Amino acid sequence: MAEPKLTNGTSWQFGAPVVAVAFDEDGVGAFACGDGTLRFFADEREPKVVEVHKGAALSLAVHPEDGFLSGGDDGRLVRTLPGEGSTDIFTQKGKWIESIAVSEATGLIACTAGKDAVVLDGSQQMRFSHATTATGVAFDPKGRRLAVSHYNGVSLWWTKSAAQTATVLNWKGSHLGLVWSPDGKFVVSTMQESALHGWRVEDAADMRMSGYPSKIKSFVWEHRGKVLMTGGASRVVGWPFTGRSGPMGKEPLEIGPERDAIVNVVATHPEFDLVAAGMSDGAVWMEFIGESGANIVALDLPKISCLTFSPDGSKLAIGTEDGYAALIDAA
Amino acid sequence: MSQVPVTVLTGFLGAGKTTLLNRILTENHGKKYAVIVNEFGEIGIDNDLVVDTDEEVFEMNNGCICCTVRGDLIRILSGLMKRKDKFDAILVETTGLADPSPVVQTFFVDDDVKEKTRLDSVTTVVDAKHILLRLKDAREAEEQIAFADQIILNKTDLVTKEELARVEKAIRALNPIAPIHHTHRCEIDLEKVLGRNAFDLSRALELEPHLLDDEGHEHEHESDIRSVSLSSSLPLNAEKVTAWLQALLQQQGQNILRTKGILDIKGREERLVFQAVHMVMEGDFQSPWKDGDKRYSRIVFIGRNLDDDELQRGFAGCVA
Repeated sequence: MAEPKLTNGTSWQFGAPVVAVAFDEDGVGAFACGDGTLRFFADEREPKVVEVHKGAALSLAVHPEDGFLSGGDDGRLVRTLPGEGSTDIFTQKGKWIESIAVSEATGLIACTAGKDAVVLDGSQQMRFSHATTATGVAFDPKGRRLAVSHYNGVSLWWTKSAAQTATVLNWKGSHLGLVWSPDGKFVVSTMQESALHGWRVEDAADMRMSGYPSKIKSFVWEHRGKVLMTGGASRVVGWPFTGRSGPMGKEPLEIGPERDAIVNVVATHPEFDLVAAGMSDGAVWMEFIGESGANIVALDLPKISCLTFSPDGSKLAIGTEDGYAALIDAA
Repeated sequence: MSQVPVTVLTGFLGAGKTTLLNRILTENHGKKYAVIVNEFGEIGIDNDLVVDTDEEVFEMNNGCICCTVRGDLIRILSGLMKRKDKFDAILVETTGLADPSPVVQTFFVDDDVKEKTRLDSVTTVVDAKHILLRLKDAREAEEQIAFADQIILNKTDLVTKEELARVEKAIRALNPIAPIHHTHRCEIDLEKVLGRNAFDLSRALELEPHLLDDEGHEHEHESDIRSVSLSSSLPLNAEKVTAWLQALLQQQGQNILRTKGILDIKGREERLVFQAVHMVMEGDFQSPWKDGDKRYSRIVFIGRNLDDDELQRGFAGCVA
């Protein structure tokens, strides 16, 4: 196999699959890894390793106040502050914590645990149950509602009332994860069948976004929150969510070079109309929306698992399934 | 990247699946296994990992009516692949009453599962003492045998030689190709069960070719499941045989539970080995025929309402 090549950056080898990467607002980054560690970094120096989970870390998010949240296959949701160590904030033995959501507006934290979604409000805990496994959680922009994906649709729950019946957005099939649009009007899920499904929240109108050659494992809003950038095809596919009917009847954007490969992971720049993609052939490119000509910043990487820009947009962090990780100068 | 072999363990309630799992988890075999179960309770296991799940079956929205898969399994297998320590093998236990198709189809349908793992075998544990009764009243029991790549015939110490012969005959009527291991208390060398690559059909068919050549079908057992085996010593045309199998499985895949075959394709030095579960089929060219090998093609269908003549005609039409 060819050696990984970076145009401008630093790389590390962690010896365990990299599962997720995130930056806090100060620009401190964390990789969550398959050996249960978090690895904190700020520049090209070797990341600081903190052992957090007994098995693999499965999910990662930035804590609404300080530090990072990680979920593991040890049934723990843990808050870790790089300098001060870890505290469990939720545990459920025997269940995997596979998805975490954080509301900036309310400071609420949510995670999945088996068929339940759990909302944590300080020391208060609220639990919402579903007929099948809860695969993903997302807060609406105001933090008042939580959307949970599962078989045959998505359930919407009010985050401040314990006794309630969920509003269910139905669509047959296995929904694997979801996002809420930044204007709060739409919920979009990714499905087993290489398609996205969206709903307009006010009337549950369906939107089917299909035509992908493979399962969509990555989808993220561009910085204005109007276009949903998605992987799963040979180029990044962007669905415009403007107006009342979202992407329906509109042509999706296609961004990036034609390569004989699939976009595994997509990331969007925090300030510019810039998209980055990690491809199945090990390439990473960046391209401005509406301009042709991609900047290829890495080649021949192992299978890319996660990709994100730093909050000032100057760096692009990359994680892979074989433990190789990189920090690229994106400015 | 090498794929982790997965053994799917089926068997009717009380057949001895739990005994086998306990042995796998507690024996000092020096291997690292992950076991995916429905309910296991609390046991301390040093080296192995037990994952508890609910069987969550869903139907794919792909127009294929029998394409049901286990979503929980897709999730768990991809989660296990994120761990630093790799497993030598993974076992998936199904509940006694489960239809084996969704779990098997999961390995054909999901790209991530296919990339990281491979279905090593469907292993069915059969209770020699009670199976004949079960076959009379439970459709699942016969499907589990029909689906098997190998069978652990357990509790053989509780039956007479004659009873055992009747049981074997009933099993053979449902599944003529799966090797049968006789055990009591599931005492068997695990190496014989796990990591067998049972889907490497050439071996299975070479081991028991007489079963395939046996044209006579005995209908002592009242099941509507039976098998049809076809063979030919003339090389086949690759396009014709592919088109025939695809059309056949598309039309009759609900009734055809399993299809397995080795084909001698004109112009190719390797055997084309394929297998299917209901409508989903996969195959590739494997080891080459050796000089002096008698080249042949063989296909075995296991299912309901099989029409021998129609299958034979279709197969004959594939000769190059």
